[in-house]
Amino acid sequence: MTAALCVVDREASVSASGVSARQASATIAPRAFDVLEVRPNFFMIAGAGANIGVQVGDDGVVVVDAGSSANAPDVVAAIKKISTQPIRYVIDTGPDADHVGGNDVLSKAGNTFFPGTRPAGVRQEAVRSVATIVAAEGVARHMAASPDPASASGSAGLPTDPFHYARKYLYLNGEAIEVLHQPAAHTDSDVFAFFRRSDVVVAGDVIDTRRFPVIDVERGGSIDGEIAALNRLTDLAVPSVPIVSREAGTIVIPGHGRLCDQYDVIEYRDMITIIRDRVRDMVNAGRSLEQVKAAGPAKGYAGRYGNDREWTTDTFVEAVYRSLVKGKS
Amino acid sequence: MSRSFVAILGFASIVVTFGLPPAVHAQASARDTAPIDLTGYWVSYVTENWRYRMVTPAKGEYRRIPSSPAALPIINAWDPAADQRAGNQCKSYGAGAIMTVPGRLHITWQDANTLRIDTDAGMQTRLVRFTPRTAGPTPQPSWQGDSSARWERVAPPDRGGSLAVVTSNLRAGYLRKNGVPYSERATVSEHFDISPLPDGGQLLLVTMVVEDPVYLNAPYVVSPHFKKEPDGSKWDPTPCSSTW
Amino acid sequence: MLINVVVRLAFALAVVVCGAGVVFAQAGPTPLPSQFEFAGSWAPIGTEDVQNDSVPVDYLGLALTDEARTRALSYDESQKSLVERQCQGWGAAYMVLGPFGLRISTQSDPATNRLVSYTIDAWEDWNAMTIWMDDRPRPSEHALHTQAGFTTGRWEGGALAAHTTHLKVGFIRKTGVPLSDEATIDWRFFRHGDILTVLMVARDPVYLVEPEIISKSFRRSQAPLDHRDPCAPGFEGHEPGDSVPHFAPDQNPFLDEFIKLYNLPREAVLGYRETLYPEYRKKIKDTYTPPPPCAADCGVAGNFVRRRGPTP
Repeated sequence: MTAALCVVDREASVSASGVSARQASATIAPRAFDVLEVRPNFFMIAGAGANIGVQVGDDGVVVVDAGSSANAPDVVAAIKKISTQPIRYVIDTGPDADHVGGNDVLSKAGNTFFPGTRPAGVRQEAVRSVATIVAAEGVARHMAASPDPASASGSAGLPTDPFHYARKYLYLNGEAIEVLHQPAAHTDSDVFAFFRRSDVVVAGDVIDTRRFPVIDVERGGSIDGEIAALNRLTDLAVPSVPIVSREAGTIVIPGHGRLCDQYDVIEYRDMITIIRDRVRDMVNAGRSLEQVKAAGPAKGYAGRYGNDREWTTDTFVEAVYRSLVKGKS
Repeated sequence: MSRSFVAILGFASIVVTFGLPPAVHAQASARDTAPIDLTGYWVSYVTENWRYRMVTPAKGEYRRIPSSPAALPIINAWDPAADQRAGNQCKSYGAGAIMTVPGRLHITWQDANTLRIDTDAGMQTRLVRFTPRTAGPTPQPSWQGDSSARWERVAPPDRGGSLAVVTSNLRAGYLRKNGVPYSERATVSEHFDISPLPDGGQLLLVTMVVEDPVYLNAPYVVSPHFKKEPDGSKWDPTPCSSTW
Repeated sequence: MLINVVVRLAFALAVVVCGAGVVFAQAGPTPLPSQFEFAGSWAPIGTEDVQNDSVPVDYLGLALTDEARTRALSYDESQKSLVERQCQGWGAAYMVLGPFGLRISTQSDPATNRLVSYTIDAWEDWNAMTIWMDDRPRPSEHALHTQAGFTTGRWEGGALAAHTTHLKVGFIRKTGVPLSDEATIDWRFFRHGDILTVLMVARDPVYLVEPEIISKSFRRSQAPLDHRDPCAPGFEGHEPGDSVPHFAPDQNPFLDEFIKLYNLPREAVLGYRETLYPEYRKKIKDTYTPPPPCAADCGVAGNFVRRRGPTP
C-alpha cells in the first residue's frame, strides 16, 4: 500500500509563525504521513508510528527512529522523496515497537559506510551492506524479549551498533551528531539524538505531547529519571534570547505529537515534576496506591494529557507511585 | 410628432428609471436601512471590571476612572441613603453607566426612526432617535438624556456597519454605583457593533466614551458586551437601587 | 412653434431632474470603507481591566473548569524566577490582557501590491503577531506552536476578523490561570474615529467552561510606539532543575487575600460560570457587604498603565 506523502516545500519553515507552509500531496492513499521541514536539511515524519527525524546531506541520510514495521516501506518511500542519498544510519531513541519496528526495512534499504556490515546475527549471508542501527545497549535486550511480534522478527532489525556508555557521536552532513543515553527515564535505554548545527534534538518518548510520559517501570524506567532526562533536554535546548520576540531556538522532536521548543519542554517537565512531588508527598505519608489515585494528584493536567486510551491518568499515576516506592526500597 | 413623442417618452422613461430625487419622496427609514439587527434580548456577560459592576465597590474608590480633582469631594461624600431619600436611586443607571450595569437589554423599534432600548436592571428606557425632534421646548435633562443616532454603513458591495449614538442633556449621575460622578454637561458617545460568536451566537459590543468637562480630566472609555438570548424568558425588571 | 418649445423644455426638465437626482443621491453620510486604516500606533486607554490588580488568586470574570481552577491554585509566581522561564513572555491573549499599546504595519506583495499580512509589533514580553490576509492554509497539527500562534484574517462588515490557532500553553490571566495549547482565539478589530477596539473571544476545551470575552480600546497615537526590549535571564535563586515552585491546590496561601480585601464572594473569585451573569447579583444581594471605604490606591494613579515613549 502506498501511503500519501505530504512533502513540504523546501522553502517553507515549519513553525506556526513561518512563511508559506504549503503542502503538496504526492500520491493517492487512504492514510497520509505528515512530513514537515524542520530545517532546510532536517525533516520530521509523523504518523508512521513514532515521530521520525531525517537528516539529509551529501554524506547520506541519518534517520532517527524507524516507525512501526507496517509503515516501514512507506517511510522508505517518503525518505526517498526527501533525498536520493542512501540511508547511512538508523538511530533508535528507545526499544518500543513504534520506534524500532521499521529498523530492518530501513536498514536494508540503506547502505552504511562500513563494507561488510551485515544485519545483526546473520553471518552466513553474502556480504551485503546495510545501514548501521545505533541504539543504547538495552534496546536489543528489550526487543528480543518483547512479546510484540511487530517489535522484531527474530534478529532482524536488532541494533548493529549498540553502545553502553553515556555518549556516542558522529559527524555527518557538516554537523556533529551526539547520541546521549538517558538512564532510567521512559525505559533504561532511551537516547537523545542531538544534531548540533541543525539545532534539533530528537528526544524519543521522554516527551510526548499527546499524553503523560510512559514510565515503563518493568523495563527500567523511573519518574525521577524521566524528570532528569527532561531537565537535560531543557539544558540542551536554547530559546531565542535575548531577542525573545523572535520565535526561534532549538527544535525538539518528541516521540509523538507536535514539534516543540525549550518552552514546551519546560511546561512538560514542570507538569511531571509537580505531579511527582504530589505523589511523593503522599508516598512519604504512607498512603496506599488507591489513596493516592483517589487524591487526584494529576488534577490540573489530566484534562489535557490523561485522555489516551492506553496510557490513562490512572496508569501514569500508578507508574509514578511504583517508581517512587521502588526507589525507596 | 415623432420628435415630440420621443422627447416626452424619453422624459417619462428617465423619470421611471431614476425616480424623482430623494428630496421629493420621503426618505427610507432607519429601520428599513439598518445594516445590522440590534433588536432582541441581550444579556450582560460580565468578564471585565467585575468588582465594579457586579458588586458595590468601596466608597472612595475610583480606580481606572480619570476623575478630575473636582470629583473627589463627591466621591468621598457618597451617601446612598441620602440619594434614596432624595429620589435619586437611579443615579447610577443613567446613560453614562446603564450599559455597564449587569442586566438585560430589550431592543425594539418604537417607530421607523426610533430605536428603543429597555433595561430590566433599573427599568430604564432609552430612546435613540435617527431624526431630530420636532420643534418644541427642549426637554428637561433626564437620566437617559437625549440620544441621536446614525447608521455607519460599510460601502457596498460589502454589508455591515455600526450604530453611532451621541447622548447629552443628562441629569448628573454616577459612572459607578459607589458615587463616582459625571455632571449634567457630560456627553456619552457610543458605538454598537455585532460580532458572531464561534458557537453560533451573537455578541453585542458597546464601545462607550464618556466625556465630562467638570468631573473627568480625560475621556472614560469602556466596552461592555452582551450575548444574544433567544427570547425574553429571563427578563427580570428590577427597580433602581442606590446601594445595590 | 409651440411644440418645439415644449419639446425643448421637456428635455431641459429631464436633464435638470436627472441631475438633481444624481446630486441628491450623493448627499447623505459617506459610507464607511470596507477596510479601515489599521496600520499605525495605538496607545492603550486603560480604563478597563488591565490585569485585574495582579493579585495571586483573582479569577473574577472567568468561567473555569475544575482542572483550570486546580492548576491555577497550585501556581506559584516564583516560577517566573526560574532561569528558563524569565524570558518566556506571554501569549497572544496578552494583547488585551497586558498594558502596552499596538504598533501595526502592513506587508504587501511587491509585485501586485496585494495585502499579504498585518504585523502587530512585539512588546518586551509579548511576541509579534502576524495576521495573514492571503488565505494561506493553516500549518500542520504537528507544527510548532508559538507564543503568538498562527493567525489568519479577513475584512468583514467593516471590521477585521481574525482567528488564531497553534498557541503554546500560556495564561488567560498572568497570575497563573492557564490557557492550554488547544485554545483558539477569535478576534474582531473595530475602528470608530481614532479609537480601535479589540474584541477577543478565547475558547479552551480544557480550561474554560465558556469562552473568555475581553474587549480593550486603544487610541490613535501620533507618536510611534516601540517597546521591544531584549531579555537576558539571570540567576534569581533557583538553579535549573532544582525544583518547580508550586502549592498544593488546597494550600495556596493567597486563597483568601482578594476575598477579604474586597469582601468578595468566594465562588466569584474562584471563577465559577454562574458569577458572570446578572442572576448572580440576585443570589448574593442579601449576603454581600461592601468593603470599608477605600484607604489606599483609590484612584487612577494606582496600578495603572506603563507608558513608553511620548504620551499620545
